[in-house]
Amino acid sequence: MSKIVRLTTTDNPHDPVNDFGAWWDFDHMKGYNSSERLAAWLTSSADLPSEMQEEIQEEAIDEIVSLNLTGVDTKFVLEV
Amino acid sequence: MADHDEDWSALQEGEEAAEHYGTPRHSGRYPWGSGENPYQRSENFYKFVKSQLDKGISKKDIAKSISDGPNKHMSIRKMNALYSNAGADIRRRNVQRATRLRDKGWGYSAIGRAMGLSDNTVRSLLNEEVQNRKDRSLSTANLIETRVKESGGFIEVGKGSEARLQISSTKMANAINQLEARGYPVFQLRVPQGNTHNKTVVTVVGPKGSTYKDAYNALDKIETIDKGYYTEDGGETFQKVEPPKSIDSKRIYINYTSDDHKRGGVEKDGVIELRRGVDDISLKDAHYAQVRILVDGDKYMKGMALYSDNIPDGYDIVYNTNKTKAESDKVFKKIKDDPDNPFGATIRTDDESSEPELILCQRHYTDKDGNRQLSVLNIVNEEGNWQQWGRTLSSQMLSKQGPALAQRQLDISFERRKEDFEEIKALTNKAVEYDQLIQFADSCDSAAVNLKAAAIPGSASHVILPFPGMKENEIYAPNYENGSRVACIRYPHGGIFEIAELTVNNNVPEAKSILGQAKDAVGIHPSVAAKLSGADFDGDTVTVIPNDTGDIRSRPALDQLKGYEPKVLYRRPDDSIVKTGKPTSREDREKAKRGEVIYDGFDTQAEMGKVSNLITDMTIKDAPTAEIARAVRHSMTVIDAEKHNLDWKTSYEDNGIAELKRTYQGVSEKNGALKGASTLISQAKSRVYVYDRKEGQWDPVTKRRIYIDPKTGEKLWEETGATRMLYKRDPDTGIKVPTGKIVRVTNRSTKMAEEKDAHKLSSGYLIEEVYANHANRLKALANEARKTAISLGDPEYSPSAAKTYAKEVEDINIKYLTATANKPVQRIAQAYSDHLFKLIERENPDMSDDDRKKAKTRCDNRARKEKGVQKASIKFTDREWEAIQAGAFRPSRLKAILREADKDNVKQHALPKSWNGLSPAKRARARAMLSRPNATQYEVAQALGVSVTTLMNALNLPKA
Repeated sequence: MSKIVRLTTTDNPHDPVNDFGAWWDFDHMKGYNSSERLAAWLTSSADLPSEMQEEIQEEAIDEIVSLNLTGVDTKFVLEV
Repeated sequence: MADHDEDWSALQEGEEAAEHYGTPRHSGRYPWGSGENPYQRSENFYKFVKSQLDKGISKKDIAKSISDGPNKHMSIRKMNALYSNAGADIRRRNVQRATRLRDKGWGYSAIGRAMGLSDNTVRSLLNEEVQNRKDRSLSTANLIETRVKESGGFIEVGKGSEARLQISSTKMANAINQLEARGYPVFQLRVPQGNTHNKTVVTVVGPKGSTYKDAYNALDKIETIDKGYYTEDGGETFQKVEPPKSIDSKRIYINYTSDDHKRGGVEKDGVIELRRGVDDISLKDAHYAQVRILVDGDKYMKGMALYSDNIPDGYDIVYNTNKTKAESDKVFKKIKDDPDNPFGATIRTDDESSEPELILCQRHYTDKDGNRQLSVLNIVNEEGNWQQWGRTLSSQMLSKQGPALAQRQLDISFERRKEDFEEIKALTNKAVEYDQLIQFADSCDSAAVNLKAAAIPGSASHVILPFPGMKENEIYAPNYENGSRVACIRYPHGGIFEIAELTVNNNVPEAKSILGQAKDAVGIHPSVAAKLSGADFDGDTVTVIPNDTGDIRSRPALDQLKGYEPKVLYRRPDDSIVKTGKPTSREDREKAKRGEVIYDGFDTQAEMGKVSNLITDMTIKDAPTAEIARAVRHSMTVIDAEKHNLDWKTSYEDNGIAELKRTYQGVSEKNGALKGASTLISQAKSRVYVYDRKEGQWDPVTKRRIYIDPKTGEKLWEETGATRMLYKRDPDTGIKVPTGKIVRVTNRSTKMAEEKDAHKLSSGYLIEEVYANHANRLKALANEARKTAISLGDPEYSPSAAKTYAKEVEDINIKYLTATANKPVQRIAQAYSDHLFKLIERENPDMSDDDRKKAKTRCDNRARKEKGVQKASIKFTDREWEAIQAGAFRPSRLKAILREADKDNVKQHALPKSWNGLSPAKRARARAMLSRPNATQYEVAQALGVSVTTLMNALNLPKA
């Protein structure tokens, strides 16, 4: 079992993995800019190996969700 | 007597047709012809048959007058079935519409006027709704029975389950009684509650013969009542998701793209055109929908489905593709090896559940023999799902428009906050005022980080559909005034060269015929999509912004972006075993395990975020257009990389992204790595580390802990001085090992939240200064609100009021207990959390008390998130509020009660009576907004953050 983790918002009805386009449209329409916030958060880890990136990314998403600046931030987990 | 052909044309000409039919029948594959949607057709069928019956014509003669194929008339049995179904369909729709209007607060007369019916008929329709609700007890009992049999385990039926089924708690109780009578045991399980010693009750129904012990042992497997089911009729009946029905590819005409990729299918790429009047591909009364269709049992197509009047003879569907004839084998996608999800399309429900759930909606229709059949259309989104009224403009978008518009929209946003502040200060209850001021201050602090501005009124998202016959500078947009100007923006939004300025033309015949009064779609010329960041027509949306004033600026499309087709340039060869992204299905994962496919780990979300921030920084720093075009080209590759298996690394190199990042975002002095965000706009939300701290400081004067600086209004913090062992990952084993070095514990925050003066985050460009000023004034407003809050003092407690209002006190206490008691999903979450905790305990039997507490909290949080827990809230009656105002509760108790209360309800009670629910400033704004053409009460209420009822009451608007 492996998993893919994304930052999303509780009101976004779209799947950020399988339906990224629709997810992205909704996210920007609402002005959350979740991807940009995540990227800004991840700044310092730009050149790490990919397996560490995943771990750091999940940690970053957890941190963003715990700060919950939008009031609707949440973590999306797809287990495959 | 008219001949068959003439009679059938009457069924196709609209509502009035039954009165004056007589034109020749249209030709076509189906005897009932084409030309309108099936609902209208069934309505006309009903009207026609009824008019004949009313004239005294026998059923036999009526049936004889109806054609049912070449040289064949309809049987009486079939006509009866169709007549009965059509009548029921009309009645059901009328009941639904009347109920919707009644729920909005409309009276019988108003509903009657709106629907063209008498008051008595409306009463009868609403009574029918009452009867329907009675019937729901039976269908609910049947559903629970089915769920118990299917799961072989236990189904949660406690409080709140009724909300999932959209029925009342009484009906649910009746359904449970019926089940018990059928021999299914009902158990009330007592489950430990989180970190406390309290227990909560989980009510479940189990298989016949099961025991309490069986139920308790299966706590982690309890399922919710509606899992795997959906409703097409608002909870009246439930259907299980069925295997999708396949369509024969012989019925599909494929509109290929010409070899030069300029004409043909590419102009409508992603559009699925449907013949009208064909039952198994009917959209019912919708104009369009985003669908998946199974083809020949092993492939599928996806896109936007809409009716068309130009389907070639012998076909029912035209599928427009960007593939050429030479690529015919790539037109359809292969279905996934997952019977539950053959299309690989999962979208989440909006109930906060973090478990992806397939909610492709399946639709049914009644065939010509009166039998219920599954449609081949699997609906992903349908008309009405796309519209989102914009309430804010992001800094990413506004910063590209220039300082003047940004300043104006930020000013509007700030003025609204000041309005809110004044409104809170006018509240008539100290406890409520304190609570609201603290929340308001926190929201101002968050707003200083989020940097959102007020939206331009009337902005909303719409799905785009192509009409090659339209002019390139026009848009068919029935939600906007004919002749008005609008700006269309789609994200990723590279710059103003990706904004389309268009004039509304709602008289384009083709668009009018197909989209009609579309709720949330607009029609554009295909070339406009190319300008809108390369949008296609398989469900892409744009934000439409009214722009008569010309405030939203745009520029001609960049030459460097013309004809840029990342899907052509960077698509990996079909035989490449390297795939972009990560495996997203069991099948893909297995292939990766076997080494048949290598995934490169690409993460669309993070990469889109990075390139979007780069474009923002470049725009703010006035980068040359040619350089911005490079970043935009890369963003166009990135957004489609995973979906179309594009080689994004080559795009990164071709477009020189590393060089752009170096120039506009800089490099780290520490290690030379490329930095991410460099301007105030992009780095406001960047991470910053602060030493571990807790709120508040010891005040030697008052000899108590205080949380707000009484002089400045700033939040007070105290560093804990906590330390921890530093760990390092062993490069060989990958395991974290202690280094022996002790470091201070840190927490994460954002740069903007920690910076007292936002100008320090600015690199000096004008737009950054505009945002820095805005952030600073928001921080100042937050501090002022906190200062006001601590100056209020505690509300007074009155023992005599507690006696006078003893009944209200008791009622409020009961409401409080109910609100804090766990709801069914909460109870499932609790059981699940306990299960998770047991697993952790088993793995870590020597956990300290502190670690146990933390682990339990983590389990609770995870369980609540995964199970979609929502809170209930208290609403007060006028008399109960009187009790609160009289001081019937001690301050600490009152604060606890207010935490569980419905905010709107509290605000309504605590606002000055003369305001009638809305402050004078908000009332003025509401009137101004309502004076705009096409403005709806709903939209205005949303913008003001109040309910429609509050808005109507405050402005004394008529109810209908």
